[in-house]
Amino acid sequence: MSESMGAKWRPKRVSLFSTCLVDQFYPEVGESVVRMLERLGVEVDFPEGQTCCGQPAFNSGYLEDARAVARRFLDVFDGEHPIVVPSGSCCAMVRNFYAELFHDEPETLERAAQVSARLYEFSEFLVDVIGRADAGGRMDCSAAYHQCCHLLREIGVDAQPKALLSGISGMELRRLERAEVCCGFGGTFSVKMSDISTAMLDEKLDNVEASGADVLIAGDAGCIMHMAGGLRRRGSDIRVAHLAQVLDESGGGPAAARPGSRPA
Amino acid sequence: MTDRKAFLASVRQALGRRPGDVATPQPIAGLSVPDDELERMARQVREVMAERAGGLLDEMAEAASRAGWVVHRAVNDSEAVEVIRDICVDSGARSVLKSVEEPLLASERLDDALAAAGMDVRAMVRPEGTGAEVEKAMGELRSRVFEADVGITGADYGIAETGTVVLHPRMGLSRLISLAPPLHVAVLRKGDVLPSLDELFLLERESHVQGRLAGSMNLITGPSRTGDIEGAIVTGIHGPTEVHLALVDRSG
Amino acid sequence: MADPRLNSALEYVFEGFHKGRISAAAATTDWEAQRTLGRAIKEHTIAHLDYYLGQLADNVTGNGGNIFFARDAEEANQYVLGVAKRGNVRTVIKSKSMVSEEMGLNHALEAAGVEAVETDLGEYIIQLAGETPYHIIAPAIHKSKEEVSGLLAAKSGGERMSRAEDLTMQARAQLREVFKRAGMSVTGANFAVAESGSIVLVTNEGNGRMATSAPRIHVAVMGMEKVAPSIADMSILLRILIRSATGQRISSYVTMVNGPRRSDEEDGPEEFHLVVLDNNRSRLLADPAMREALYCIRCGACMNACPVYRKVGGHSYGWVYPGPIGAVVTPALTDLDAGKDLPFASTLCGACREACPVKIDLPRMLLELRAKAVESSGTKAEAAVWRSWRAGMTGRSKFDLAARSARWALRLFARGGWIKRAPPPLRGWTASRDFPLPAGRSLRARFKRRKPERGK
Repeated sequence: MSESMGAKWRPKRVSLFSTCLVDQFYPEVGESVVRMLERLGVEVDFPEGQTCCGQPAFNSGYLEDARAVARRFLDVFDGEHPIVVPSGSCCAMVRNFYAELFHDEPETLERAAQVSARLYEFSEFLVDVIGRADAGGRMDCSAAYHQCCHLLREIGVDAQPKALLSGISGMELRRLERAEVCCGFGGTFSVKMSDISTAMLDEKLDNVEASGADVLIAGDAGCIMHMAGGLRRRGSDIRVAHLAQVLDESGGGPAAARPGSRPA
Repeated sequence: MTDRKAFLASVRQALGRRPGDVATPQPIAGLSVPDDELERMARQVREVMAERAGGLLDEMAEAASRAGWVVHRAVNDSEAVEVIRDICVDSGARSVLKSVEEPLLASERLDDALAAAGMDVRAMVRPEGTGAEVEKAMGELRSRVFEADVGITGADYGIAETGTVVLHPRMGLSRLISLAPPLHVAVLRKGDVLPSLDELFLLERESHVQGRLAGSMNLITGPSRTGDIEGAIVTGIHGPTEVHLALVDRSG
Repeated sequence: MADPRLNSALEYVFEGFHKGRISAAAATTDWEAQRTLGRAIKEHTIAHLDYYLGQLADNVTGNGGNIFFARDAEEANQYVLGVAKRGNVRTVIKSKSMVSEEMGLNHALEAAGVEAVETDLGEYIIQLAGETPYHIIAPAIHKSKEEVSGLLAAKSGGERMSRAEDLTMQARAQLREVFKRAGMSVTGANFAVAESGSIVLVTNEGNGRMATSAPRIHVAVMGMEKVAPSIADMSILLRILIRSATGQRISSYVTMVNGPRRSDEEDGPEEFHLVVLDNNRSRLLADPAMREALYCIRCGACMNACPVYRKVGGHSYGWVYPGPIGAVVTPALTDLDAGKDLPFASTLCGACREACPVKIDLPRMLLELRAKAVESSGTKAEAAVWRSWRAGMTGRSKFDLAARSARWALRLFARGGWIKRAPPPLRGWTASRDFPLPAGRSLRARFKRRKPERGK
């Protein structure tokens, strides 16, 4: 959404919306996000009151409960700095679905629009806002990239993570068959419709295993939890990582921009 | 009609119209063609058909063969007659039905060529008049069209985008003749090829506005096909198994 | 869930349709523009549906045909039966029509002693098997060649064939006999044209043409949303329909019927009837949030794209229309219990919206239906769960406390940071997946204690 901004606008400070899943299950993903941003010269602030964007209740049809949590989100993230979130799904909730949720509350709608305008998914922020598609360092492994549904189809972020991955030298990107097909997570769907969810996951994981990758990379903690849980049940050694983690672990950042060190 | 009145009233209610509100649709932006523009645009289409006749015929040949037609080229009518005769002979046909809306098919040249090759050739034409006798004759024609080995028709238009042959059933052109026999031969002339479906439906709309729309229109693209048994594509489920397209450069 | 072996066999069929659609779209230079125009036509028509249905009626009548507006399936069936009775019809041939499935027309005809024979090969096969369509474009795709062979052989009392070509010829011969004797046909209508009173039929097999050529009476049945304003709209609608349905540039046959046989025509039906069905479509029309479900042109692309449909199969949706569009229209058009769960059987992955040639926002409507379902029939227990979730999410200390107690409870089930068998409500998860134990310290707690990294 922000291609026109190019790299000219270089915010000094951002607020991190970690998401409830990262906060509670994958704090290391949040730490990687923070480290990457700081290495790129962006200060990170963690609004202390943050919890959740309200998506679980919204997706389950409990709109009043979702609204209460969403209003609070808008309060917590009121401000001027850009907001960075390492999740396509939570970004989509605020950017696309708050408009549905608050369609008859003009004032909240206005606030939601203001917050949305400042909200960026992690890879989108790196590539489109600060213009650092080359932020990767070196990581010797073979990797496959799963295109998380909301990242790909709700907010249209796909080129950015791929660009960032191809900037990591030593990483061999393997072809993942049907990378764009859902892993079957779908929030409460994974529990309520467990057998359908499992059938979808099985197909995904068959393709992941067939890709021959050591690391499966994705951009949403929900999908990561789902695929990692499935792989672990299979006894697989394939690691599931968030994009921010591999960028961070590769030593990515300003020093990592080594021209000519692209992997084949 | 009470069904209509009550039905439309409930549609109006669902649309939230108040009593007395009249729906007055505005043209769809970038799409609707005003009637007075239509004639000019249709004229342009006909100019394009004439100016690009050669190129469109070539495009048609390519698209048609991709769509499953066996494409034949003939420089003139005499060659076209030979092409048709050869198709019939090669298929082992004994009984041939033809339409007569296309001059080549109405001529005796074709009948003579096919008869000389030992085939029974008939035109699919409704007898004059009405009543029981005509119905009986039509019944016979219908059973003939279900038994014939080959059906031959002209082509009102070709469509280069899709490799489609367009037929408007009318006097001299039965609906079934291009459908019921297992082999269909269509004769399409240079100059009758439209670039795409857009031009076809524009001309069709012009016919409608001018009050000369035919009773129906068939777009035929390749043989009859089904994929209903385990997804395997098989031809000839209801219509022809094999379709041939004879492209004719000039008449005479 | 349906038979998993069957489903994996079917995967490749749907993947074939899906890939066909994608490559057809890629080969169409201005595909996005075509979609946009297609949607514009549907938006415009549905917003003026009263006007265009009125115009359609005038022009069908003007062409010498008859039009009947049916409030529900029962009225539509009665009309069709009346036409058959007046015409002394003993056999009706049917060309594939989802609306006639919706009406239960075959049962109505047979109950009145009229033989009704499906002529689309897939529909014929499932009619012989006594089943319902599995997919709106490929109704019998779940039947194996062996099953088809048995069904066709039993019908003719002939020998069992094994090759698809021979089976097809066997069916051709059986159906030819029916075409010859049928006094009436019933077809659907892919589109109707208001300005000319026409209907448009798309088939690959040619049964739509046969149905509009051979019998003395032709009856077309359609949902009221199928009308379009102009003949000129057909090129766009046909293009997006066919390319999305099968990946073809065009189907073998497209027929536009402008009324009964003209007096100077060689053949064709003497009578033409068009039945326009509401059957609760006006519920969708009246609801701004659901109206765009009426833009659907029944191409089936959403089901081919849907990972859930691919796993559960077409018979799991409880009614005539399966897949994402079925999950949206079934709750609105019927009062079936099955309809209530359908909106929840989705991960909201958005593949359907991406595939839809008229860009129907199916995930948004599924969300809308979920909220409606909660409003009308949500349980107290579930509401209580979400109330406590809300309480935990609207204060950071409550959030931390809730998270700590959840972790404390889950630790009892965990080994090495993972849970193999969790208590409800996570039992469904651990049926097939390990569940991670929440981290000991949240990001917030970790963030507080850290020193910032130095930038450049």
